[in-house]
Amino acid sequence: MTKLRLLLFGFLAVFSIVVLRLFFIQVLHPDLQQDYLSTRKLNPERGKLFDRNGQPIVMNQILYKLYFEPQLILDKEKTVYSLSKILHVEEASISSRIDLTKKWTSVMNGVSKKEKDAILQLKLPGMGFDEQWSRYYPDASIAAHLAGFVGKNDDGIDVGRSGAEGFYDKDLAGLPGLIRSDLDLQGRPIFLGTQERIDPENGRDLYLTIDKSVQMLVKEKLSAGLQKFEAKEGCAIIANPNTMELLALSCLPDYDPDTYYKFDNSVFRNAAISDVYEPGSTFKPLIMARGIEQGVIKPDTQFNEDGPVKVGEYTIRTWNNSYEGHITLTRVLEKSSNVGMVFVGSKMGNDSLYNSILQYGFGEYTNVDLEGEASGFLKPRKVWYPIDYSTATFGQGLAVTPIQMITAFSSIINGGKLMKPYVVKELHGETIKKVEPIFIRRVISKKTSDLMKKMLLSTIENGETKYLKPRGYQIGGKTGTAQIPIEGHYDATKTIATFIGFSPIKNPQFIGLVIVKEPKTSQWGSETAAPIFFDIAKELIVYYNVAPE
Amino acid sequence: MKSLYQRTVLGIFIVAVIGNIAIFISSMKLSSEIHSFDQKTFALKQENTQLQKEMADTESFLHAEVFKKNWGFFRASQPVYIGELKYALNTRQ
Repeated sequence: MTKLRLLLFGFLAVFSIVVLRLFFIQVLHPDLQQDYLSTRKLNPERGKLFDRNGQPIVMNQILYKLYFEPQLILDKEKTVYSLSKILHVEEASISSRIDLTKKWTSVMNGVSKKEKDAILQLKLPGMGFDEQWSRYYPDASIAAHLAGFVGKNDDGIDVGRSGAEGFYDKDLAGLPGLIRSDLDLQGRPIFLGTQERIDPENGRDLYLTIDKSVQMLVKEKLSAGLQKFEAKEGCAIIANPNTMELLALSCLPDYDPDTYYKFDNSVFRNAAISDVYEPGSTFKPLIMARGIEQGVIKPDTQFNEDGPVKVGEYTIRTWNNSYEGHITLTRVLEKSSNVGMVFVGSKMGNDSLYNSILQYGFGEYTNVDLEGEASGFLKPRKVWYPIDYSTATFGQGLAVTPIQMITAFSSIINGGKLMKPYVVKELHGETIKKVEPIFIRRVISKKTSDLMKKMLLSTIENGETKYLKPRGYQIGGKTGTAQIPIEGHYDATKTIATFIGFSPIKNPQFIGLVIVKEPKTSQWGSETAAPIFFDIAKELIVYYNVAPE
Repeated sequence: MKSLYQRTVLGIFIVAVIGNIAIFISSMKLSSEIHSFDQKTFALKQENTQLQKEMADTESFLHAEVFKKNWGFFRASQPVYIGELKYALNTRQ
């Protein structure tokens, strides 16, 4: 009996200790529970970006944050010297981070695995590493404006900025998970304790419509062109005119997304969707197409180009002030006659002209899936004066974005369909979501479109400038040279030179828009933007295996 | 009778204690395994990410550019484009 009592007392004593300890932990010091119950956020992996052929454009990589526990460092000098050699950082910069009064201090972000391994081999006490996910760009800035970059918000959380990273941020970011677990003294989970885990949902991978080879080619040619023509800025967009999938988009100068914080804010702006410009003569085929569609003109309609045209107090001239007398409207496009276009506008009438501009989608967003799109600028109808209707026929007095321009131009060569431009063709998560081309509206008939293609071919074949185009192949297009409006007037020395072209004629496989801002060697689109386009087209014809026509 | 009862209680008690200890040890083992698998999974993820990065590097244009320069590939064989259509069409002059 005594033994049993002793056992009972023994158990009671142990039980009391356990109860007292629980009381101490749960009632007196509830904060101590945190030592055992750990709640951790599980970060999802951000979705990657691939080109249309599955070639990586943006990947993820693990870098490391190097930290010190200064009080554990034994030999400060040796530590600083060794780290400085491996990390290629000044000793003073590392030394200044070692504050012996602190328990923990961050030393350096973005340490690579190679550097981390080298540091670990030194077996220096008082330092450690935290993993950091970051973006990695195998081809550096090949598609900087398209892809965008990942920055931090005010809470230090990764956020996509500009381009596809910005537009698809929610898809790319995924959903974080959570782990709540009781840990033992060694930090291992206690199986019988609290074990809750909600797995993170990784971000979706984006498959872009961009072809990395075409993107590379376009960027190289544009860069060489801008250098050759001593231009300030430039943009080139290549698209499939039938679907408005963007195959390449490059604007220069651009930036290295890896080190975006070293660049000025101005280079983050994607000029292809955010900048507006006066389209100039590249606008003429759009108006011509609508005129033909309405039946008020035909390609062979005769027009007497006998001199400048007076509209109110303004006089409209041709670009070289030369006049050819009786010419067809095909010739009007070939020689890019402003007065000829005023004639076309007068045939259409003001209502129809204004409505045509709206039909092409000018003045509204194309809704391309990139962050930062501008809507262009179209004056409200009530403030249009007679001169505005005249100048609009040759692309002056309105401001458009390059993406609006190529979208509208595509519609006159693809059978008359205005399509929504887009850059993401598939989203890969748990399921694959395919993005189909979106038809907006019909702007002209197929018959008119076929006529326009012939007129645009003739513009290249019989225009004022003879282009170095590949023999045996047919390319259609139109040049444009717009002066830059500065403080209410045009500066004759500063122009935006453009060219928009496509090939082949029968069933266009690609359309390209090249914009060269303020070229110094020549102000004309035919001598700057057009050669860049033809350089690109020559290679695209080979790349897409286009048959001679 | 009383003795049998006491022995049974003691027996159950001892079995319960041993059972508890066994469960506790096995839970410790399982915890260790979970921890170890978690670490291995993370290490694999890291390795996978690193390999993906290396693969992307190898396939990148930047790598091709270095390769091209090292071998003088483009200088040695100038490609003939369609400026000279006879090559494309494989016809003889």
